[in-house]
Amino acid sequence: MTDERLIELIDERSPEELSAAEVAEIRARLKESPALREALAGRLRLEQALHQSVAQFRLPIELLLAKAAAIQATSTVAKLLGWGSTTALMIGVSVGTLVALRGEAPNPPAIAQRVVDEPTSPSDEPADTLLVNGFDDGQKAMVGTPLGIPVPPAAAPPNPRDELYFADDADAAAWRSSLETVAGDVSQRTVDNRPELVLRGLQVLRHAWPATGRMRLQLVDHDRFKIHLSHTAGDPLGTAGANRPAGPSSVTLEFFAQPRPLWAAWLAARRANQPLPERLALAAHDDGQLARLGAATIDVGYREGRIVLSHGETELLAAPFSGLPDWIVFEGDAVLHGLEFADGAVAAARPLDAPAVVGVPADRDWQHELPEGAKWTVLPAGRVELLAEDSQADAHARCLTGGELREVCFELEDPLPGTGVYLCGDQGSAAYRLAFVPGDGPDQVCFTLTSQETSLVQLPEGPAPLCPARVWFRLVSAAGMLRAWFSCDGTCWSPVLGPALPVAAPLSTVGVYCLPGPGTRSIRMAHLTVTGPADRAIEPTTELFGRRSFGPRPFLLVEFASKLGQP
Amino acid sequence: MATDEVDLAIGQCEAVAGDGARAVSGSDPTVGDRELVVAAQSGDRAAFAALVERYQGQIYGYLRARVLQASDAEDLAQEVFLRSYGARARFDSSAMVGPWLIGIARNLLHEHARKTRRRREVGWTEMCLEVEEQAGPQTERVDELLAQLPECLDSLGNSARQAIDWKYNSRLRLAEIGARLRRSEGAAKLLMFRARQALKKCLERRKERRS
Repeated sequence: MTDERLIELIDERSPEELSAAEVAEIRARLKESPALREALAGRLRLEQALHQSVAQFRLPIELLLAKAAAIQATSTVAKLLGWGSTTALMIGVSVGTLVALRGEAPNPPAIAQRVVDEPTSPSDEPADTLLVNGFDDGQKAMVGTPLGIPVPPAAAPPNPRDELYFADDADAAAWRSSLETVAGDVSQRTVDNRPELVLRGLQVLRHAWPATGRMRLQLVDHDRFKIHLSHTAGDPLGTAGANRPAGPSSVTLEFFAQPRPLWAAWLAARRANQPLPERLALAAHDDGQLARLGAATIDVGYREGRIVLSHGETELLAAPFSGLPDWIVFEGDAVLHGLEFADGAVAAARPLDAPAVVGVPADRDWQHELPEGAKWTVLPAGRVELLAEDSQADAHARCLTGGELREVCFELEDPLPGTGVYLCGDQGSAAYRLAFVPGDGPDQVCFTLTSQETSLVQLPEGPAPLCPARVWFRLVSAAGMLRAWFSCDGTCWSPVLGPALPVAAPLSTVGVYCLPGPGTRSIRMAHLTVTGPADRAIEPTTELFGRRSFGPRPFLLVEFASKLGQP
Repeated sequence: MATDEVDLAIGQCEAVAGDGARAVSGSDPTVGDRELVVAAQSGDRAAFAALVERYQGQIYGYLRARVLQASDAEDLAQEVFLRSYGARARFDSSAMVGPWLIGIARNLLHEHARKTRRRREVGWTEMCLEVEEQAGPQTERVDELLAQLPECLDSLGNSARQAIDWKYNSRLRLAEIGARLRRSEGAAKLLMFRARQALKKCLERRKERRS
């Protein structure tokens, strides 16, 4: 490309739209072309000014100060420890010198006691060992025996959080031969003296899944890359309940680079005439945890009826699954830096606390407004159903909870598009909605949390929130915000994608609704538990903010300032 | 994926104050940077918070223009202030705070480029840093733009102004902007391009007039 064309590219496209090759080409010409350099510098200035001027960016200052204070405290302790180590070392060296000069041993218990009493860095060898062997801190790689004979240290076990790389070219080639290409290709190359495999298209991994092992792999450049796993023996355990038909149990893991990097897991089903499983429902996502860890290596394993995606001991997501995967397919483009089946189970799933009491919806006092075509039914086991057929007006049923609510947990069955659950104040007017809307595919239903002020329901970018046939939700109002979680089994929860919503007035009513329109709209509620401020302590710092670097609603500086004076 | 849905009209909507998230300015503009730095150095956390309030937009803008992911820019902006907090005792209070923070941000970008594994993004960030090294600091020239930008933004048509807001404030992608404007993604891209060109010309005209 000519410099003129490159300048046009810089003008025409936003940085996100430039490909890696185009960036590389611009970069290669920068030094030689002042015009190109000025065009890029000008574009950068404009981008910076627009981001600075238009974006309403606010840091969570309280969180920032808390982190700063924590770092400062750690730094102070580290300084103290550093002084302690130095002191211990100086004492050790002095005593060692005395021993060498005088040729007689000091009183060992007294010396050992003095040294041990000094604070020292946890990574240092005990000072008395250093004394016996005469090694200084720089030689601590050689650990001494009681007889003073240095021996090489035992090999440390691999850290499960270490990034995984192919051991050498032969290792990469061996894994390449285990990949059977259905479409596309696999190539091997060396970058920065490390072998890597470039995957494109569809590859079946021919490798048995060890009974007590997990698959580890490090992927880069893998936007929308999918890992399909199936247990072809079927799902006798019924791990997915009504959310997956009988037949092979399948889960699809997919990585999204935009709008923020995250891994998602889908309940899926392989039909006889389809090469790949069909996505049925969003089971979980990692909420961007892996990206925030700054890591790229993932562990995938089967544990206790679930496929678990983790990084070392950190569980990222879990989805119902029926047994060890025996069919593994990679789909999409990615660069594979390493692949192995390692010993040891994957990290245990960390279920979020479920409500202590599961309530029966029919036990509550519901008030309804039912236009023509709408019907309210109490079903067996205390379930309730709101159904509207060709209705011309909104149908809804609501129950007052008898006070301010903090958390609502409920299970829904087969919610159809145009229905949902709403929260509001005592007056019974909807303020927030968990709305069910049509997905892209036939019979697909998606869910999203939205405020009543929003007339156009916009699904968040990233993984489509396909709704399972039976799905649990938790809506939590705390710290001035409303957030939602979903789960396909009532045990492992993921945040509903999209921003949290600011709550300005107390919420006290839960309702279900069907919008007017042609055809049938229905929503069934199987469980409903409402928790008030006195019933349960909500911990917003861990539940609402602990998994995000930034809350969607920033802390107010005035809130922070008001807390400064508090002990 | 956008879905038109008829607004739910159950009863009368309560007036829910949706703008409760607007941050209150904690920094008194009459207090200078120097006073705030001196106070922060002596352990006044409110003064440090005021400095954060004052410079967070500039630091975020600098970083966001140089990384492709908004979340990376947010994380890095936070890290800039954490590092500045750790190093505040060593800061010469007579020096300028902005360039000091930009320097920290630049160092962090170098680290970010070394650590990140997404090659396309690394390429962009490294290229931006190279341009900065070759073209020199841009802070003053950005400040010139910032002084003129509000009026130039106001001179844009409604759709273009809205599209700029959606892209830079709401962080919508072109497809989403197109959906909201009931246009194709290509049309939204063209609209953004024209809006930027119009801004560029407006800023150049104003610069010429001033000079």
